[in-house]
Amino acid sequence: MMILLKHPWKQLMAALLLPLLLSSCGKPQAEGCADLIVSDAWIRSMPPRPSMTAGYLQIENHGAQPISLESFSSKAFSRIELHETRDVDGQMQMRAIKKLEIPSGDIVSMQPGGKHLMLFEPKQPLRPGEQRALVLSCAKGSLTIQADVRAISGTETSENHQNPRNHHGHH
Amino acid sequence: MKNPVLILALAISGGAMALGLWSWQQWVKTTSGGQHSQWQAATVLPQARALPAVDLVNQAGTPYSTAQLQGQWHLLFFGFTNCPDVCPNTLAFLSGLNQARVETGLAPLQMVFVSLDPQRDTTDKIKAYVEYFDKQMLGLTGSEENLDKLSRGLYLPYAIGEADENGYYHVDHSGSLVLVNPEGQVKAYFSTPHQLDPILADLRRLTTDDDSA
Repeated sequence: MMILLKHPWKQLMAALLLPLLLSSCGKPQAEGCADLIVSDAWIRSMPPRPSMTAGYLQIENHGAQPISLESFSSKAFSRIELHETRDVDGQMQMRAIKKLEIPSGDIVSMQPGGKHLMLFEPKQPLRPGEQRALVLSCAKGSLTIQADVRAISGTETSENHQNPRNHHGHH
Repeated sequence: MKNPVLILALAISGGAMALGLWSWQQWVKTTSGGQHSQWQAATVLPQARALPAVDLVNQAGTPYSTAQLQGQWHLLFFGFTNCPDVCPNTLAFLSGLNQARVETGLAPLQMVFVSLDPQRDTTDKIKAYVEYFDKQMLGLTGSEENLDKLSRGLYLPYAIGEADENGYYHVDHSGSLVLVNPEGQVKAYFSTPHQLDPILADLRRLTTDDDSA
């Protein structure tokens, strides 16, 4: 849902070509993270003694091959899982995502109310204005990024609540 | 999709569904009638319903009955503090909503967070949590039995998930907000996704119109 396929023809092409690629040439896939562009990475600051918080980021694959994101890690947290909040008839559920495939040219958008990183047991209190290093691991290789610690205001949240639905690229 | 019969069948059923939706909307418009038909975000109960009376405890550790949720408007949200995404989003949203409410001169509205996870959420934790988002917010929790009774009475089911290998569990819960009127009755629900302006507009009408209180 969150993977942006900007144009319907791209979706069609992806649907038509993917099985072909899978069947004919094994599975061509970029092994490293070099073609990933990460932007707007941030972590929510939390009350004094949180046992977890959430992180959000945009990940674009500007390479020619799909990239498989295997895991996230950070020295600043005991562990990191990739989760997705799902609104099932008003019931807010959470699902773990084991591995994230990012097709060539796509952007995975992690935002409040949708896909997010679940960051367990921060080693230090998280204060707005600080940064934490996060490591994205691909099949071979990894990418280290800096995420800003932010407190979110209510107004920002009200906007963010609209985003997961409106920016999925259904148009 | 090669089968023309299948395509035709899909087209007919799609058309039938669209027609059904359209006529349902028309029906809702005509039957709900009057000046209150066009709520922007709220699901307003035709008749306000008593809030189930259960004994809870507030963030100071003091016994607190839901019967005390009266004398002014209250807005309730159910969640748990080990919730990384939905609950912080919603509590920050409630804090922003409260600011906007003050700025636009709406009637007093007490924000209430009810933890459905008494096993992990001590009153100290709840205190730190709610006050981080809004110093004025009321935090409540209670026994599993009383929380069950309250959530059933509000038609907002929740489910405690299974613990993973690290002992963490998630609580599936409703994203809805419950509006309780000064008489201690459930007046309206706001379902997800929550957006500031539509909720403010509905709150203005709900808290000022005599006939809807």
